[in-house]
Amino acid sequence: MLAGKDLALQWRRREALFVVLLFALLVVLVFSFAMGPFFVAPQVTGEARVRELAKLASGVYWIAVAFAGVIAFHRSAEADRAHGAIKALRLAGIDASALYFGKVVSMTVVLGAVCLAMIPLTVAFFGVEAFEVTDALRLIGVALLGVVGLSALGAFVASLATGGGGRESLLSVMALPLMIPLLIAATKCSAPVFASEPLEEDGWFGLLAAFPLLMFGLGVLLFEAVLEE
Amino acid sequence: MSNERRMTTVALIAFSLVMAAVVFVFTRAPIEVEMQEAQKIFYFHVGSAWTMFLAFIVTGIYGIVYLVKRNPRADAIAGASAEVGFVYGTIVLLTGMTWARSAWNTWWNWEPRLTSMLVMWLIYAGYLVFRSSVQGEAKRRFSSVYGILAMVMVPIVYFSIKLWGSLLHPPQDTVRRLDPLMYWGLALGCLTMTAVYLFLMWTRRDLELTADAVRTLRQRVTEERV
Repeated sequence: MLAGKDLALQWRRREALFVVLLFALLVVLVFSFAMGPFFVAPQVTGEARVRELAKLASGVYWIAVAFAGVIAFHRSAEADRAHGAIKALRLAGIDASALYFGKVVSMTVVLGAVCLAMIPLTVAFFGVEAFEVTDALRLIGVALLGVVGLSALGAFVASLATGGGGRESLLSVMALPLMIPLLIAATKCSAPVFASEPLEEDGWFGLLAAFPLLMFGLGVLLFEAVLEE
Repeated sequence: MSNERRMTTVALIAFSLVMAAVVFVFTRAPIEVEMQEAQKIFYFHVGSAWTMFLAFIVTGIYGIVYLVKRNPRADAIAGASAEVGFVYGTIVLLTGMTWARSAWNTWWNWEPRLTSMLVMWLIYAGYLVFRSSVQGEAKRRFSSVYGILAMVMVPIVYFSIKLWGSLLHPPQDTVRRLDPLMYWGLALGCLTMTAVYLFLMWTRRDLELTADAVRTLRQRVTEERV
């Protein structure tokens, strides 16, 4: 229900949601321009080329998601602070951990949408030709894990940052360094997917799966302290 | 006055340890074959790194203490510790880069330990920026929460960057091949840096508490005037 409230709010201001999406798209575009139209030297061909392109695509994909996430987290947390919405919900006797849960769910949906929309764009822009429909499904799986982790961290840090009256730049300074382990894990897991290869057995997937759980536990424990007035 | 006395004692201990460490490291510790004198960085570098970890753990633990007891002193310690830890982190990064320059002929080579130091340094830079942007009770509560979050993230950052970097460089077990005199130098370096940390942290805590007291007094004065 709380997630529903959050999503309804986001939906009512969908032009702003569109901004998040557009921003993610622009990040991909800017990176494509920055690295030139030929991402990998023409001498590199065959499988090596696919792998190099997939690495780039995966990195840019997650950078875009993370940056778009910072914007989305900030918007959502600020909407809660404005007009004392959080206070009202707390007075209605709603648990802090329930609020946190709702926030994570709604952020997962928003970022999930961004992730989904970004898949065809990234594939097209970076020309990872080996990418197939089954890979898209695998990528959705990986992205879902990554997005839940990002949301669990982001929703938490955003309420901290906006609670202290901070602006968006403060949130990015606080959230991005904490996101680094998750971003490395997500990038490492997506690269083989973009190259249409099986995941490597090197522990990154474990980190990607464990991060949301850990963040979630911390969030449930500490969110109470963030919200009290 | 007991506090002042304790501070003087700590200052004296820290000062004599610094002197002893400098003398020991530059006159007694053997000169390393490959790196020559540049290897002396090692004692202070590792000492600072160890103290930085200690400082960040103190920040996290006193964050928990503050959330449980709501004693402003606990938060003052957490904040002071983060600030001093950040300075130590800066020392670690700079000496680490100098080390990289003389050992591998490059200022930065994404060596996992150096990289995770950088990320931790950034996390606590975030802490300090955040802390300075909030006021009063909210500042204490929010920075405690962030301090705890950061403390939990530190080992994850460390682990993940080790995993990430191990693909580039095999981990080196330098400590096992140390000369016994180098061991002593290392221990002395760690001890010295810890003593200096305690002195700085306690001084910073007292400053924070004094600043808080002044702010409260000033507020009362303005209120009474109105």
